[in-house]
Amino acid sequence: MKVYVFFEGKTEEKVVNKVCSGISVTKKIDAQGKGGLHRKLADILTPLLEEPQPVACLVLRDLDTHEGETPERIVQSLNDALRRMFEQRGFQVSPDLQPLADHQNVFVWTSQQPAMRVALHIATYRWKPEFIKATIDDYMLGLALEPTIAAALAQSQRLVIEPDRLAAKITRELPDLLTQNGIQLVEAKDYVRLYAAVIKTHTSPAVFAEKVLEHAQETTIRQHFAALYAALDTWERP
Amino acid sequence: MIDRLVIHRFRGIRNGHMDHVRRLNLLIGPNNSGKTAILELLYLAGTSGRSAQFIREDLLPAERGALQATTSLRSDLPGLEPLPRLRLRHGRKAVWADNPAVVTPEGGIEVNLAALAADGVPAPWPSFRLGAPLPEWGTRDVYAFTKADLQRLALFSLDQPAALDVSMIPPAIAAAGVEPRAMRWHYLWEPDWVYRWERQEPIDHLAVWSEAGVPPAPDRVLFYDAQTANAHFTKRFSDWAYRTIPDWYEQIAHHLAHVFPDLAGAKVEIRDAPDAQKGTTGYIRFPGRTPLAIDHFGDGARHSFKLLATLSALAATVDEQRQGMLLWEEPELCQNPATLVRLLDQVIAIVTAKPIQVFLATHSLEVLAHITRLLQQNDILAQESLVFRTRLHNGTFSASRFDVDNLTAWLESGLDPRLVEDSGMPLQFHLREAGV
Repeated sequence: MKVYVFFEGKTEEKVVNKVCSGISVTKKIDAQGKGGLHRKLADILTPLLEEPQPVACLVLRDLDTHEGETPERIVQSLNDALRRMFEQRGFQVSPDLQPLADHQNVFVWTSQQPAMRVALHIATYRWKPEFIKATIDDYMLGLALEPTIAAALAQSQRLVIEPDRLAAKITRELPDLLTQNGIQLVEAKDYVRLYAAVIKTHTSPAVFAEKVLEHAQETTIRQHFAALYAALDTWERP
Repeated sequence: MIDRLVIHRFRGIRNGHMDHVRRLNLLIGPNNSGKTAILELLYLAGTSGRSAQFIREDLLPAERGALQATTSLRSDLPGLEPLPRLRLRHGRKAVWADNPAVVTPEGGIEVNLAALAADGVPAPWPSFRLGAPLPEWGTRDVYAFTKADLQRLALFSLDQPAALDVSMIPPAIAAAGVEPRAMRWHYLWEPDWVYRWERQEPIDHLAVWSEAGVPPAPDRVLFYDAQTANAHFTKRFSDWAYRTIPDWYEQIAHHLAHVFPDLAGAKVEIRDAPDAQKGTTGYIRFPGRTPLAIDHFGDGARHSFKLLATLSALAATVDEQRQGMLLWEEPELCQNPATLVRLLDQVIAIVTAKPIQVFLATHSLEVLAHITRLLQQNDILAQESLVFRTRLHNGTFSASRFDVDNLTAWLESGLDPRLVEDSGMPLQFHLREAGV
């Protein structure tokens, strides 16, 4: 089976590298934003529809609620993109992504002819309910604030600070100071950058994500990305 | 232009099809996946233009017992004999001495298909005749078949036959929903060209394929491969081209200078090959210097010269009624990537200005990437082009299609359209916009 993973940006790539480490992924494809993701997916997968080898694809999407996105709309949009792709090669198939029972933000669909498995993971978790959108960074922030990981990150940067003290600076003290100065923190990425600044590491969320994942135990990663693992597990089923 | 092929037992292809064929077609894919077989099949079909009457005595007087047909021309555009040149490609003697055929007193040939029976599977039908057209009263008979033809002919074609006996339609082609009247049918009886394993039906003794669309004019098919590149021109071709095409030498020089800027200003001539060899070859003459045979240059220059010379002759002699076909195997042969890009540019410029259908088989990423870039820059060409990744599994041929969007997405994402499996090659692709 050929496995393709499509995502919006670099942070997802780091997560995918970790989560898919036990899977033979044919290609991880950074669509560089959600705008061209479905188009890229179709352009890459269309020729494979005429080949005998089954294809599996995983799509990672953020939930941009501030732009009116809902999980239902994302699902419908991917269904439509897949249907158009099949039509291009003469397959009359109606994709119908359905949520997993245990993870309502993971949607899967399987086709026999052409042989294809599709899994869609929508980042629906918000580390703070007030955030304008839900992204993979919310998951990363939650993971990075785990005391053991926060301690390991601080230690790796030779900082002497207790994990709860570090968390307080990132989640309360600095945000409060910024707010007092009229600067609003509206998404997880803002907090991720604060975190990176406090521990004096590269402030790119993707690099930060890589560092966090390096210092995390697999069991902890599995807890935080359980839905993503569940999406991959669907490929193992007959 | 041909737009569809349905194939039964041609070379390594037990069955298969190729749909949505376009004006510019690139064949990519693993070794032994049928690319060359497709080129050869198109070549044999394309050069089938010698008129004949197909007669099956066992079906007469039914209409399907006597049909208008064609068989291979005596020579193709470059002056080569179609079947012999392909036999040579495959390590055989040029002529087929064992053809189970005889010349009839009327100047036709009679083929004894019963001689092909093997493995307990009977011949598809006992025999057939190819009758030659009658000459005009009082003129020399140029149509009659001769003994020499027997060693050079193994194919007949039926163009949109009004009726076709069921014994002549392979079950796999029938299953593909092919309507005999809508297609041009080709039958090849030389066993070397027929997929030989697991014969079940009498028709399995023959390679049969049908094509839809408008075929090229039979004498306007150019099969350019390493063999062509390494051989001299036939005198027949160079004399014809010199007489027929105004400023042929100047055209060659013009195209060549685009591919090799150092040759700008040089004059081109085609003259007898050196050392009293058969045929002719190209000479490059700079002002004030003695001419130098193109064969003295590097292989890349020689290949380019011979392609541009034959292609410019083809382009000058085609029109909508007599369309052309270029079958080009491995354009990358002997070419530096920079030269290759300029050669591709010239060839594409020539063929897009004329009604010439192109089939190009390649293993080269440079060819694929450059063609992709050309398609990105030319919407019309993009709509008229496809890349086919060929596949041959247990004798079944198929091809997956890549249009310009597929190619762009694959190459930009670091995927190699040539490869079915990951080869682990440390390659990264980066397509740039022009001027960036």
